[in-house]
Amino acid sequence: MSSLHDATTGTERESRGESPVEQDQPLLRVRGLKKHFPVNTGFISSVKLNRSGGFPLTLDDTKVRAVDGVNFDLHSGETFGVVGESGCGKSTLARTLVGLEQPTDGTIVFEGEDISDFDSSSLQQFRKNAQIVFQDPQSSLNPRRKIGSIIADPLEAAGWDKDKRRDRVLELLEDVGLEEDFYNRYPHEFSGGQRQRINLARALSINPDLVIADEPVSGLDMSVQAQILTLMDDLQDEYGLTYLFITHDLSVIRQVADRIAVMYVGDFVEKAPTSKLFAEPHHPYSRALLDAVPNPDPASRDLSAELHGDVPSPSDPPSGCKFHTRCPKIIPPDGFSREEYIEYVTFKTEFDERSVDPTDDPATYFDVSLPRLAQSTVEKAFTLAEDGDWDAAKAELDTHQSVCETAVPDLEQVADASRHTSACHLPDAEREPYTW
Amino acid sequence: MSLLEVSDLRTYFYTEAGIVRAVDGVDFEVEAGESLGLVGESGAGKSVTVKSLLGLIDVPGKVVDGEIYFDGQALHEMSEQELRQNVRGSDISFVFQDPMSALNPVHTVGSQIAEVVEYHTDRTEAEAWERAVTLLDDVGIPDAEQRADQYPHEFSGGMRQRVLIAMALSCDPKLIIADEPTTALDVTIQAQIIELFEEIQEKYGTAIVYVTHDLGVVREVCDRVAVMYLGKIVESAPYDELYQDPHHPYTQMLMRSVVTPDRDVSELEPIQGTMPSAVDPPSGCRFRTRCPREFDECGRYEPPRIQVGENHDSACLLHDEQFEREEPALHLDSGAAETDSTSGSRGAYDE
Repeated sequence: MSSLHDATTGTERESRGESPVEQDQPLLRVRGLKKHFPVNTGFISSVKLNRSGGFPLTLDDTKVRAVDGVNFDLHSGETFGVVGESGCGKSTLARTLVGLEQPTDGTIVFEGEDISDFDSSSLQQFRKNAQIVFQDPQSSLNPRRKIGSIIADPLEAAGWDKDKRRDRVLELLEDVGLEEDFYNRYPHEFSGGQRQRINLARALSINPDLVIADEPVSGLDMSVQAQILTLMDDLQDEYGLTYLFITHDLSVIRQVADRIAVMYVGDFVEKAPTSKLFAEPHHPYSRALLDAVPNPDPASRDLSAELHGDVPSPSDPPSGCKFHTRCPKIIPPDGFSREEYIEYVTFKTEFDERSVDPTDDPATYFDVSLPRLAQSTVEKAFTLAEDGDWDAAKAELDTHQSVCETAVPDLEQVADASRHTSACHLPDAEREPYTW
Repeated sequence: MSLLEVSDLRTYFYTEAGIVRAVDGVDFEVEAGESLGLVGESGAGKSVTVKSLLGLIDVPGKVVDGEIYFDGQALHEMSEQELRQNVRGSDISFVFQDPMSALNPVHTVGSQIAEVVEYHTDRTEAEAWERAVTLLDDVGIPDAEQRADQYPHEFSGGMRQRVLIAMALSCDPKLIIADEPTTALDVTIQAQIIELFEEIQEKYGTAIVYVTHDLGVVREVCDRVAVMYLGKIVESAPYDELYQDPHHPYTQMLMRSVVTPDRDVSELEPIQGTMPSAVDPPSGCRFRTRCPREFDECGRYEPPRIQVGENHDSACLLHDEQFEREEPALHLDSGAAETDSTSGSRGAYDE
């Protein structure tokens, strides 16, 4: 097995990632892709009582912005990784791309044809060319059907006759490292790793160009993970596949991806070639993610839990840079130090959730003492909140705002690195070099 | 004497398919304040081992043999009632993998913790509630007083795991058993929980048995590791030593198959095949069917755990002088840099 993964494979991969051959037409081009889900389904449930005067009913059209404007190109033969915490929208992205969800906005162009409408005849062609592999190999295989017929499903849909289907399935079983006599067995007879091999065989049956893999190794043991990852690598060479690989595991993504996008609450915050992202992560969120990965090598540095709290709700994402509520590198406004302003932002978030008791002494909410100006703001806000006017109190607190809260950062090219983009207001000069 | 001493533990499951020897002769010790990592692939018997300690094995499973001494008490001789009243939840507590199914959805988290406190101590209801709030605050739940009054569904996955840890700490245990407590969590949340375990150890000096398949997590939390394979411990050593100088062929291969954030795909060498069934395990050494260094005697003798260094033992016949090999069949030069640097010291052993 080691001969398949000698040093040359590694260098080829690196060079592919760093100086890619720009093709005229990407295999998949995604522009401004959005997928929003309504919080309330149907008219009746979205009507809410409004007691603040005026017309007594309002329409609650809050949306969960699962994917909120994502752009990327996928070139033939590459592996593009999308990484992020749960709830960041990465699985919705996968489902929207293969047409399991109708996109709210944006375009998906596959081999030059727009398929985002999903009613054109190009859709059927697209389905032959794009396949998805899901996380849970157990629930994505019908327990009452034999392996042979499960793998042959896409072939049947494509109109292959029975004998050809059988030959093809036997060939596929061999390709994914399973035995021919598994043809007549049922899914429950297999381990998680073997089931994921079956899923791969099914996905590959009609020779797709694009395979979207949504957390394909998450439920598997470490030794089995390595098996599936090397298998996917071999299959990529053999079948000339393009992968969109979605995972929350940075160790896994490093093994497979040529380029990586880091996703946070529906947006890509950083896109970079793999080696670049791991050596010089730019966005504070990418850095915090890397810091949180436990590394088995005792010589590497300890992990640090830089990020506190959970991913904010995508139905009411934070203003400006969505990461500002948890960012350890937030740009403080005039008069604040970074440490003070992080405290202030945390307090503002708590205040928004109304988990602050306005009758308390404001000082108990802060570990560091705030600048005098901010202290009086907080006191005013407490007085307003005590009178019940939370909105005015919130407005009062918002007199101190960071650029991170007021302006949405664009995905911009990182200094002198082509194809490395990051959405952060922090100037390049203020970043420390990243070390493992 | 060690805090926990387990010897020759055997837990079998009597199924229609035959007797599953999930744990088949496991020995280990945990010193007071020490943290031991129990690692291995799924099916290796890690979870069954720790559940056997506390009598948490359900039919058709049964602890058929073995002695478990905890703090001088013979746990293997205790009745279910004695275990429940005097050991489980008080001296030894358990943190499970899935916090949602370990919490009762129809009671507030505060009352669930207070219930444990009331059961094991002579605190009154009000005192127990107060203790619950303090514990929630200790494990880093903000606004503990209000949050104690909420139900499990109102907490995120990471927060629920904190609640379980608070519950585990409620009666000042001497030992916490954590069974894959961070497997279902995101890396960022996992990092927070790992730091919490480190804090707990520092603050309370609690001993921890940490079951996981993630070596990265073991490195952060544990002093010592025991590697399990098909119901047996094959190697045990302080973590750093195990990583730098693994002796058992299984551990060596495991170290090279593990996916890490700073290793290239070219360095990845998956262990081929899957673990054999525990119904009919291979004779002799159980790893021999996947071992690149297997020789005739491996099928005949069950290898004992042989001392290979201070506090370091490995169950492989290769360590026994009478089975010395002329040439090691396993070459390490194609492996990762880390294993390269250590092959010298191992070479000395193999000569």
